[in-house]
Amino acid sequence: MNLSLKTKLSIWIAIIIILIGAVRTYYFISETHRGIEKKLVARGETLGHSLARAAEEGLASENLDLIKKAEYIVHGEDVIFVQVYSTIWDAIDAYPLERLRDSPLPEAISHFKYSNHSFYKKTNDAYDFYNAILSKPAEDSPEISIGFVRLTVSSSAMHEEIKKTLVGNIVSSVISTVIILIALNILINRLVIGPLSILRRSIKAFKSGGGHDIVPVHSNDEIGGLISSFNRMAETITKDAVELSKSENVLRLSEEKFSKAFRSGPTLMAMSTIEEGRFIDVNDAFLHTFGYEKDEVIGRTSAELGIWADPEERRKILDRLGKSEMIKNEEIVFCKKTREELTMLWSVEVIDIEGRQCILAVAQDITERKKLEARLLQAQKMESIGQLAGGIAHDFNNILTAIIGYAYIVKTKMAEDDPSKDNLDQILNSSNRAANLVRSLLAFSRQQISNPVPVNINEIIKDLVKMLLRVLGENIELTLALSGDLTVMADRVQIDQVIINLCTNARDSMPDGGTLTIRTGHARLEKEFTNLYGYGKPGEYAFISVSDTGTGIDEKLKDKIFEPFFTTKEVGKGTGLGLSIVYGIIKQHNGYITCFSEAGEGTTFTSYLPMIKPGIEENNPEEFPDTGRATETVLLAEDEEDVRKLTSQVLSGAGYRVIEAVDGEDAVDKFISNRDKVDILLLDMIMPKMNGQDVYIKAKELKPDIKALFVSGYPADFIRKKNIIQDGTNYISKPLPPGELLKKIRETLGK
Amino acid sequence: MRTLISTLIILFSLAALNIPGAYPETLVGSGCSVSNTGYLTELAKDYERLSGAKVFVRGGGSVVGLEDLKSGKVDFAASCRRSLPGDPADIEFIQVAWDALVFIVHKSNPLDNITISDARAIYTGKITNWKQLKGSDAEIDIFISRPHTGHGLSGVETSITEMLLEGTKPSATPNTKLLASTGIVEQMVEKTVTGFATAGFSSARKRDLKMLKVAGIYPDKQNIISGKYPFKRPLFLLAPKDPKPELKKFIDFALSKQGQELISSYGVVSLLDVK
Repeated sequence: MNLSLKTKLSIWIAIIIILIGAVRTYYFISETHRGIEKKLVARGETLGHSLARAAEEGLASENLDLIKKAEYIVHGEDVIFVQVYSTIWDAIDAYPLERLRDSPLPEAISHFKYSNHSFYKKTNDAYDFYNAILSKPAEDSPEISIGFVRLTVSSSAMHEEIKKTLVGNIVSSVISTVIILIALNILINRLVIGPLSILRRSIKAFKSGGGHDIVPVHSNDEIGGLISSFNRMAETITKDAVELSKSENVLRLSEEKFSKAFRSGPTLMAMSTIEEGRFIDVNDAFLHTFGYEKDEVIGRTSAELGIWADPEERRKILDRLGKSEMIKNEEIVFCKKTREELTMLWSVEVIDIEGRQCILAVAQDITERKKLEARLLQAQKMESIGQLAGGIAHDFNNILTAIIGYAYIVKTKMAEDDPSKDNLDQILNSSNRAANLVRSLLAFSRQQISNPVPVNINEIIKDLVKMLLRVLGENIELTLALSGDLTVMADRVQIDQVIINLCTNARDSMPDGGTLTIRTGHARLEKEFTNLYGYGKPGEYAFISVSDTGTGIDEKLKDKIFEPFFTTKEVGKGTGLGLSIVYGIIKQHNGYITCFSEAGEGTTFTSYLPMIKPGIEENNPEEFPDTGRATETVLLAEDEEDVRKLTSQVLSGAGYRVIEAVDGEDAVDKFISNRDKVDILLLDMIMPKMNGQDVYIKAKELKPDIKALFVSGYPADFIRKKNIIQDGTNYISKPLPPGELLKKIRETLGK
Repeated sequence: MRTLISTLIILFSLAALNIPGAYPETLVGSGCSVSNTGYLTELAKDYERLSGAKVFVRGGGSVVGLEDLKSGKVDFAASCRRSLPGDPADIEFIQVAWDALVFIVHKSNPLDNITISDARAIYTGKITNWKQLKGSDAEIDIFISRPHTGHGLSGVETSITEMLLEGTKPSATPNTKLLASTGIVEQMVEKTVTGFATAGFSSARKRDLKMLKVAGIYPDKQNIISGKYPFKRPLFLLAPKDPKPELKKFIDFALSKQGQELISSYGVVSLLDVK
């Protein structure tokens, strides 16, 4: 029950006052009662005694008149019954007479058997007084009882009086209670309730956040102390609350941050129980990467989901977690929902969630990175192979240049019927094959001179069909699926080589015949694709795919197929350079090549080349016909003596006058002394003291219309990269087939 | 002279017994109101006067007397009935005078005479109104002395049963009032106009009331002695079989010629009168 303090206090005080009043009234009433009773008994006894005395004579003489006279004496308002008995308790007379035969009380009869003393007995609403009627037979003889009188005095008057007293007492008690209560109420209101109410209002306001006003203290008693304490407490709480709210805010922000970070961060996160690996929570990145829905994961164990590629790994991790609290960046392979494997950098930490030891795992999906790394590694390997091959080829070219050159000179001076001529032809043939091999190596290492011009891929293929049919043979069907206007910047000869090489490989994978399909088309390569290769730009590409229905390539070998000298063919059947050349050419064109193969199903090589806008004229190099014996003077600068002498002989043989220089400075000196005679400079690019370029610049200062042809064992792009020659500069690479050299000099002079 | 001597001897004897400081022995008696009122009070006074001994008597009825005597409250008792079976064997019934039952009415009652059968009819409830006896139209109020405590019937009621109702007790009609003793009965009839009761001649003759003739014979001493009036009955004094000397003297006195003559002189039929 909700009672106010005031009501409670009032009730208690009322109860106490009423109790005190009741006790007091009871005491008073019982005292009053005793007093009145005493008076009544005294009166009754007196009357009884008088009656007994008065009735003595009447009874002794059996004189009713005398008895009645005696009875009259005692008549009074409260005397309601009088009886006179004989010694055998036989009623002689009574007043009122109709009660003559009323029996006396048995107690009285037994009392008077042994005593003559008066006796009284209280009945319901009256007192019965009995007195023996004593008579002295003689003056000096003892009294004997000759009968009894009974006198009944009503006690109703007494009760009435007590009742009046009681009512008076109750009324006065009630009045005094009310007065005391009112007085107490006023006092309590003033001393306790008032200040407490103010305090309560203040507490209420404070509780509802309405701030805290200092409650005034009016007294030095307990209430005053309470209010002061409250004031101090409220002040402290207000201060603390500000602090608390600040730290709560910080906590909330931190929680929000963590929650956001957990939920939507790119890092995979999962919380699971230690023992079973039962997932408690995972984030979106986790679900996205593993390909699960949230309700498929929460509450299930990693074993149930089969997340670990090697469940043994988990056990090992747990063992290690027993020793340290945290494991960082462990590379572990997991399985997606689709059973695809994922490589992760995985970190775990033991955390406490609601008293349970759990694991917080943070993982980073490095599958793509691993792929990229592998590809990069491959690319680096290819690059170093290329550099190695290029390096060898350069020196080898110089050697070959000498062999071919001198053999050529010997041959030209040899009589038609010379018996050694066949042997010399064998030397030249072998040397040319060696030169081709070197050129292939250079092509793979992208050190081949390339002359890219806008070409239409589809045209190139159409032109090749005749030749391809011959290469493929009768049991292989060629299907073309060419589409679109696919113009790319490419060296046509190199593209021919790519297609032919791919078709040759395809043919070899279908010894029992099959279908070879060449498809072309337009593709848009995205950043993800180009990133995988680490070079090139996303954009529009033309593709050429060559598919066979052959044996396919073993998965393990896929990475190696583009490596030089890697071959699955029998010894003597292939050089192991076909695909390497394709790779080199495509890469030189800033394109990409992919291989898709399934064992027994066939292989598809797809080459992508960056497209250009069509409409640019194809540059058809002009054929310069050999105009017969030359008359011009050539300043030849070559630091390699063998090559210089060979070149000099070739040029002299063709009719040119040759001025030889051993290095750049020598070339400049010779040019200065012979500047009017010299028609063309044949300069090795790389020479001691001064390179070919600088020689050309000096010569140009002295003779602005001087022509020059550069020669180098290094590829053109390497030279260009070193800013030694500009585009459009005439250039010829070693080894120098004499015909080629002469042709190139004639072209240069013609310009 | 002999009386004088005897008296003197008694007086001397009593005087000799009178130890200084001690009070003289008083004989106390109670009982039959008829005897008490009829002769005993006067006889006691005469005996005191003659012997100097003290005798205190009072009424109360034969039953009270017998009870008082049994309980030792009194030295002797008076009774108007003979000894009945059940009475204590050590109590002697000594006849000292004669009495007769009388039918009493209020002085103003016109009736003077009653037949024995009418009297019987009243007690058996057949006559309840005075007009049946050619009186005024009023209910008859019958008073009977019958103590409600103690043993046995009162002397008068025993006599009514034996002499009038041939062994049957008076039936209690609605108008019957039972009172403690015949003395009270007589006093009630004195005061009640419609009252009717049976009492003893010895006491009733002294009251202010009317004694009815029975079959025309008026109850007076002469008619009782002669036997014309029926319902003659003895009056007794009751005493222990071995009475103390003072009592024995008193009884002897009552039975003596002097005593009997005194009784007769009071108007009561003495033993001598009937002989």
